Parts: sequence; structure tokens; C-alpha cells
Amino acid sequence: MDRGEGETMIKLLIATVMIAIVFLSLVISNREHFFGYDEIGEDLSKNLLKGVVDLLGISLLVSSVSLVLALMSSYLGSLNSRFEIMFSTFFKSFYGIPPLLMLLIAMRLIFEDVSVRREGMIILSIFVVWGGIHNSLIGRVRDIVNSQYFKASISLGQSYVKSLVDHVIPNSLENMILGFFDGVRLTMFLNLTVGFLGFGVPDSLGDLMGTNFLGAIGYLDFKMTLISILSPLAPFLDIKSISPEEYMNLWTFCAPLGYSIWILVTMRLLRGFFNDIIGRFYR
Amino acid sequence: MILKNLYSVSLSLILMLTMVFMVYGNLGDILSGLQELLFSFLLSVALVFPSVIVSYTLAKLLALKLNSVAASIGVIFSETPSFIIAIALEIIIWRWIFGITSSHSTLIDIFKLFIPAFLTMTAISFFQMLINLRPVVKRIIKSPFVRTMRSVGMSEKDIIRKISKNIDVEFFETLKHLFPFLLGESFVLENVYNFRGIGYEIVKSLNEMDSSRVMGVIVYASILSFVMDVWIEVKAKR
Repeated sequence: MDRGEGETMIKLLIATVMIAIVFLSLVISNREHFFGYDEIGEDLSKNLLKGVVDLLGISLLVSSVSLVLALMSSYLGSLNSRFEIMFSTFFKSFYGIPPLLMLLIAMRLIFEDVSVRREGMIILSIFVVWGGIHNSLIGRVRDIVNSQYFKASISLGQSYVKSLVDHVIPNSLENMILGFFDGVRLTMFLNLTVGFLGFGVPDSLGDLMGTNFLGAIGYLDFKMTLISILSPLAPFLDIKSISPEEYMNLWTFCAPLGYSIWILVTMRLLRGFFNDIIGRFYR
Repeated sequence: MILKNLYSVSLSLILMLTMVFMVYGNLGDILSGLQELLFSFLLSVALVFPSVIVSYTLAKLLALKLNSVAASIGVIFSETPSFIIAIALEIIIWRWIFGITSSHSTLIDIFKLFIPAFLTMTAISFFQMLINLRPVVKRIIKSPFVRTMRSVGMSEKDIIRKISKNIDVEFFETLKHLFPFLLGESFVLENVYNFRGIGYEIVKSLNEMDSSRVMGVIVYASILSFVMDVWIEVKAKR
């Protein structure tokens, strides 16, 4: 195994260990009520587990659907320039002003009812992420569609659908995989930020942070910030609850913060791992 | 060029206007919204534009040195949502330097709020630009014309001056795609620091369901995006 391969495997190993720690710590802390309770008396670990599963679930779903849509739109756009103009106009309408602003307004105005916020977040995130993955795929797909082997396969009678499966997908796998992970990352960013500002999915990690931010900020210092970043390790290392003298349980802000950071770093490592693997096979 | 940028911003504006109209049944008093938010708009401009310009200049300088330590820190910054960075910086640095906290900022001086918000915005923009600039710079430095310049004995300083324009042209297309996200980050920072720009106002207006102010924010955000797009195109063409 050379040094490059070693670094690649280390990324996968660290990512696996981190995600395992995140889930195991929530199981342990739930049993012992380690993180305590929130202001309405619910075990914080249950809320955290729900928040983590929500964040990962929504991000993976949005990215998967966006990837399929982007593949279709980039393929159609490469085959016919009218489709490309249509898709490009459609995506420009989502990127002309900050996507975050559009998401905030849409979540508040259209998905005002909290019971449909999750569906709203998924739908709106798909529109934003689809455009990003489309832009990263269109160049590569266009090159494949304009290549000799693709034209030859079409002229020999192969259907466009079969050509998509036989030629386009295998040759654009690199862009698709990296686009998928970028989509996961973007969805997590939007989910956490919109939640923090109070317009996201109820009881999401962002929502938990946003709700408790003003109460916590007066009590946080450097040591507590460091502890919060290490919060998935807290149940294993028995770092006790960081309540100040008043009733406020600072874990209600710090634990979602720590778990969010760990999940984002894990996704980054997995992206790096797949980037390295693809580099070895394709470049 | 101006028409092309106006076209893409107009599409977003029309989409937003349609959304607001569908919900409220009217577009509110847009003019009164614009008037009320003019000062907030100017605060956001003062926050965003200088930080983008300063961060781009610094990022280009550091990218030319291909500093991998800064790039590694940049990866951490770019992978973390801006509100988390803003909170961490506030607790670790700004409180110590400026002695302020967001939770007690209702009567605080705008200047005291502006400096930490500006520095955080500059840091976030700087690291985003650095990690996007490094591949561009690496590609240009490896190109044949740079090797030729080195082989004829040109100094590194002259080479950097010559390739600076090439970097601008290549990177500005990326910056056009990056800017909407940086603008979104500035809205979040305004809420963390209670800095009363249009990002702060949009959250307040949405909570109060004030259609005039919502419309005002949408129009001002469109103006900001349009002006930035045109500035980027003009810089790239020069």
C-alpha cells in the first residue's frame, strides 16, 4: 500500500469511526439521560437522535433525487439545445438571488404549517441542489454526447436510454459522485442555517441551536465551546453536564452544535475518500 | 453584459414576487418597504462589498504562495455553516477584543457590531475563495507560458504580476456562482451579531409577516446581486 492509498484509507476509517461514535453516543446518552432534559422535559438525546437522522436522511434523499434529475436534465440539455436553454433559465431563477433568501421566504410563506415543513424543506432543497449538480455535470455529459463512440452507438440503432446507461453514466461517474456529496453538504448547510433562523424543520439540529442560542450565548466561554465541539465524545469520557448555576442546561445548545460539526466533517472525509478512489481508477 | 445579468436577476425577482403575491394577494407597499430598509441596505452593502474585495485580494496573494496550511484551515471554514463560525469567533475572539455579546446588543453602537461582523465575513469569504482559487492558480502556474517566463529569467514578482490578470479572468466566473452563497452567509451573520442589515430585517419581517418589508428585502437583494455580477464582469473584462 503506498502513501496515497494509506491516506485514502485513513479518511474512510476516520469517517466510519466518527459516524459510529455519533450514533453510539446517542444510544448511550439516551439510556443514562446523559445530556439531561430540555425546557419541556424531553430527554435531549432523543431529540438529538431525531435531529441527526433527519439531517442525514433529508440530505441523502435530496441529493439522490437531485442527482437523478440533474443527470436527466444534463442529458436532455446535451441532446437538444432548446432543453438546455429551458433548464438554464429555470436554474437562473433560483440562483439570481441568494438561494438561502429564497428558501427562507418560501419556507415561511408557502410551508407555514410546521407539519409540512419537512416536505417543504425537501422540495425546495431539491430545486437548489439540482441546479448545482446540473452545472457540474453538463460539461462532461456534453463531451460524452458529442464524442465519436456515442454518435456511433446512436447511428447503429441503440436507443438514447440504453446509450445513457452504457456510455453517459459510466463515463460521468466521477462528476456524479462528487456532485452527490456536494449536494449532501449543501443540503445540510441549508437545513442547519434555515433551522437556526427559525424557519426550518421543527426539532432539527439547526432548530434546536436557534431556539436555545440567545439563552446559551451569555454563558458560553472558550472551554464550553471546546466541550460542545467534543459533545459526541462526552458520554464516553463522562464529561458532565455543563449547566451553569441557573436552571438552563447548556447541552441543549452545545450538543446539537457538536453533532452537526461531526456530521459535516464526516461527509467531507467521505467526499475526499471517493475523490481519491475515483482519481485512481479514472484519471 | 448588463442585459444578460439583468435577465438572470429579473427571473429570480419575478419568482419571488409571484410567491409573495400568491400568499399575500398583493405586493404590499413596495416603495414604503424600500424607504424603510434603505439604511439596512446600506449597512449590508458596507458589510458585503468591502469584505469580498479584501478577501479576494488576500486569497489571491496566499493562493499564489500555494500555502497548504491556510488551505487546510480553509477547508474547515468552508465545511462549517457560517453561523457556527460566527458564534465560535464571537466567543473565542470578539468578546475578548471588543467585549460585546449579541445577546446584549440592543443598545450597542453600530460600529462595535460592524467590526466583528466585517472580520467574520471577510474570514469566511477569504477561505471560500482560497480553496476555489488554489486549483486555478496551480493550473496557471503549470501552464507553458509561465514555464517560458521562468526559463527566460523573469523574476517571480514579474511573473506573479503577469499571471494576476489570468487568475482574475478564470476565477471571476467562479466568483459569480460563489457570490449568492456569500451574500446568504452575510444574512446569517447579521442575525448572529444583531447587525441590522437586510439579512436581519428579512428574518424580522418574515416573523412579523410584513409584506412591504419582505418585498423591500427581495428588491434590495436583487440589486446587490445585479451590481456584484456587473462589477465582476467589468473586472474580468479589464
